[in-house]
Amino acid sequence: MIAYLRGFFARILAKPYYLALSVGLTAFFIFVALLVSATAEPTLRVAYLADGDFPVEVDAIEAVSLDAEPRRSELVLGDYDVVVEEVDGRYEAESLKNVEYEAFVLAALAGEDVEGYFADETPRAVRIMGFAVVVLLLQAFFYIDLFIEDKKNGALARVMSSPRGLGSYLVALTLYAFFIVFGVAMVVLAIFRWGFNQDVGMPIPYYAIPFALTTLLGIAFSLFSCALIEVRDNAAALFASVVLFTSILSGSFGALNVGGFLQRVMDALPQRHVMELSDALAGDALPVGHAAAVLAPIVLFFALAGWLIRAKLRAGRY
Amino acid sequence: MKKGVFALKTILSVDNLQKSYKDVKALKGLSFDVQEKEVFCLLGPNGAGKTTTINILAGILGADSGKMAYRGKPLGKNLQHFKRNLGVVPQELAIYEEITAYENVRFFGSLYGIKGEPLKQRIRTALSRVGLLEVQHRKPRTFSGGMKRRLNIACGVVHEPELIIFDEPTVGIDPQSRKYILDYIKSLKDDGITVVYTSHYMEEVEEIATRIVIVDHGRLIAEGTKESLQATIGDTDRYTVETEDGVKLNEDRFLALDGVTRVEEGEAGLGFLVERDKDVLPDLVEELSRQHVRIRSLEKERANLERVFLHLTGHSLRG
Amino acid sequence: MLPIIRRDLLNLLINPALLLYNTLFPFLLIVVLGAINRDLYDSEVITAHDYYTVAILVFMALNISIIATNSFMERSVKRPNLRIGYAPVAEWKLYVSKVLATFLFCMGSILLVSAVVARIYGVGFGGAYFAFLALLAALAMLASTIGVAFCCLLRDEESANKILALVNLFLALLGGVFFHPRTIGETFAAASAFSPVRWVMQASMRAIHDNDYAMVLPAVVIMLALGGVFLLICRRTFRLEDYL
Repeated sequence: MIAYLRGFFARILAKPYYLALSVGLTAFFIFVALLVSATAEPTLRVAYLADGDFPVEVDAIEAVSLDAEPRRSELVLGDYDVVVEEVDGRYEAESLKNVEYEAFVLAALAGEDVEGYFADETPRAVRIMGFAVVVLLLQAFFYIDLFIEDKKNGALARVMSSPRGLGSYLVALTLYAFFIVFGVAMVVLAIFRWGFNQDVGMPIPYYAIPFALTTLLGIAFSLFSCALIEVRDNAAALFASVVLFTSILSGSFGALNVGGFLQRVMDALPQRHVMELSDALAGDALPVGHAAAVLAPIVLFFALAGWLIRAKLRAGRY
Repeated sequence: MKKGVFALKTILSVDNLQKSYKDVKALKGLSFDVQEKEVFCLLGPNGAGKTTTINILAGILGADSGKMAYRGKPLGKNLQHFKRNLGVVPQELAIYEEITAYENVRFFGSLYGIKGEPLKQRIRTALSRVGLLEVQHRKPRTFSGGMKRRLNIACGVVHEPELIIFDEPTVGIDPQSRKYILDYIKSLKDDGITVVYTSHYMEEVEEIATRIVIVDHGRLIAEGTKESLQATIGDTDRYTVETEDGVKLNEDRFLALDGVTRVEEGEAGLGFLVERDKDVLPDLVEELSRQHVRIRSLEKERANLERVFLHLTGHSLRG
Repeated sequence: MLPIIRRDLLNLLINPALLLYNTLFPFLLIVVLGAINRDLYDSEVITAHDYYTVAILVFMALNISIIATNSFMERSVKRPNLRIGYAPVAEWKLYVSKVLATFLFCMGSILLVSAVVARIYGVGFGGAYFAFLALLAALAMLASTIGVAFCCLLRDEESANKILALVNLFLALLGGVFFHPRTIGETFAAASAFSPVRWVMQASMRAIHDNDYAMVLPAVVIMLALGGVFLLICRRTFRLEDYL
């Protein structure tokens, strides 16, 4: 296995430009994920059409005084969530979105206590992991390139017929991809925390668990995709589609509550468990259940990938 | 040189072609002319610069320096006209695996401005000549390696060019397909098509070539017909004797034998150049025995291009 | 050039994964995002499906850059593309044909998806369908040229795809495709003003909901001009030997 691992690193180091590009992109997008998620402060944006300034100060409301009604397209795009105007001494609120927004703003204007009404109570660590999950999963695919190369050039067939066999090869490949993706992610996180003095919601070492599990999940699913679909670009398209789709459903970009069967499916997604796990860790709890829920699909995808590769090699498909 | 009434014209000329890849000099001043209607072969080992030369001629790669002319006119501004009359069969398969053989040939034929019924006719002719007419509606991914090579040829010749370049078209295929391709090239010659053929297989070149250029490490080593090249090593046979290590020979005693012209000692064993068809074997074996040389194997070969190459370069074509 | 465009387009159409990625996947995104966000747009003016139909079609047009790289330098087409170079075909036709074929493939997919969604969810585009299509066409053309230009610059489809996959996601987030950029932060929201995706979203929504077409033409012209710039990059950097 060490021999395979050494070989993988030698191959990537022989292409320094390619390595720099890959590592650079990984670092850049993890940094962006950290930046946008750690600094996001959700608020309701109110277009205030009455005279003077918005009369109350509420954390969850960002009021903008306007002389004229905003365009409908601006409301659709979310530039403004609620429009407030004063008619005959009374405030009227209109929203294209949920009627609760209108009720909330009117309640605030009436002087009621609305603190925490729409507050996003999502812990910072969970918000960070929501974005980081997508980036880590997508990045893992890019380091499975060597496996795709070995399929094409026949090296995989050699591996199968060697005494070390396929198992050692796959373990070495996993370690290789893991070292790079996980290593870069942890380094970037550390720089973000200490170099830029940003609050990341929980101690750096705690992030090792969700980062590691997500990276392994990405590697396992990448291998499975590449084993299932032999053409690289088609495998990449499938992989990216599934990752993006399931990440949105799991609430990576914001919690979703839809109820019913779909909610149960969304709650079962491994990305959701990674975020729940981060939430638990942020509260200094030990999230064994959630870790197990992420490990299960990792093991499943690795097993399926190994079985598929072996079967296809024997059938002469590679 | 006196030219007869039917003297051939130079269709392609290459003068002092140079090309480097970073710090590797692939071509070091290669020059040659190709006459009309001949099968002109570039023979050399892997890495000699054959494919680089072909890619430069085909306009894919730029040369660092050197001149090329088609029918006396410089290629530079004449390139599109040259390409219309050029067919290229590249070394690597250049076909679409997911569409049928017919559709492959049709597409590449359409790039030369051929349409409608003339195109259909040429497709049929091209596929028929390479023996793929019956499988024209099958996809290349279902073909054997030899069939794919033949389709590769059909795609390069469908527009019936007057000059066709074949870059090692028989690499990695079965003997039957190889024979098919070589026979096809001979038929092209009979039809008056000019062929430029590159290979590192001496036997192929000996079979089809009108003229041969031997290249090695980007340089032209020798040029001529098969007979004139073989004459450079004399009209001799060669006996190669594999012996045990540590043999010390008295060469003079071998040279004293009637018919033996030269003795060579190398890593491959001993080599004895002998006048053609001279029956020197019994004397040779006797002398070897007298000098206590233990023979592992003994082989006789006629004068061939492999030996010419070895003689000129000191290493073998497939070494 | 027509035979080359035809061949490139057919190569895309016979690829089942690309076909599904450009039809079924966006359709599913519209269905699911519309369903789970149905409470977000709860009015007679607009539903979540209305919003996400526009947003996802914009995302489709943006993502076509990855299809363009595939058409240009994917392994299985590299050698046949090189053979085109042996023929008396001008070099520029090689990469322009890929841009045009990818563009046609994208627009065909967009028309199909929008027709299906309009039928199922009654999405009407406010009578501004053709203006919206013009914006998508300009964005798709820009994205195609970007994809091909990246291949020319990097001389490698895989490297180009690596960058473009993440860049497209970033631009989509910046453009507010999935949610408003302000959700991420004010700086991000301010930066979104420079995103072509944001221009398309704004111009589309103004045409559809405000009956205001003033932004359509400038947005189209700027995107096509940017596409021209990327084509110039192709002209300066593309070499046939990159196929070797």
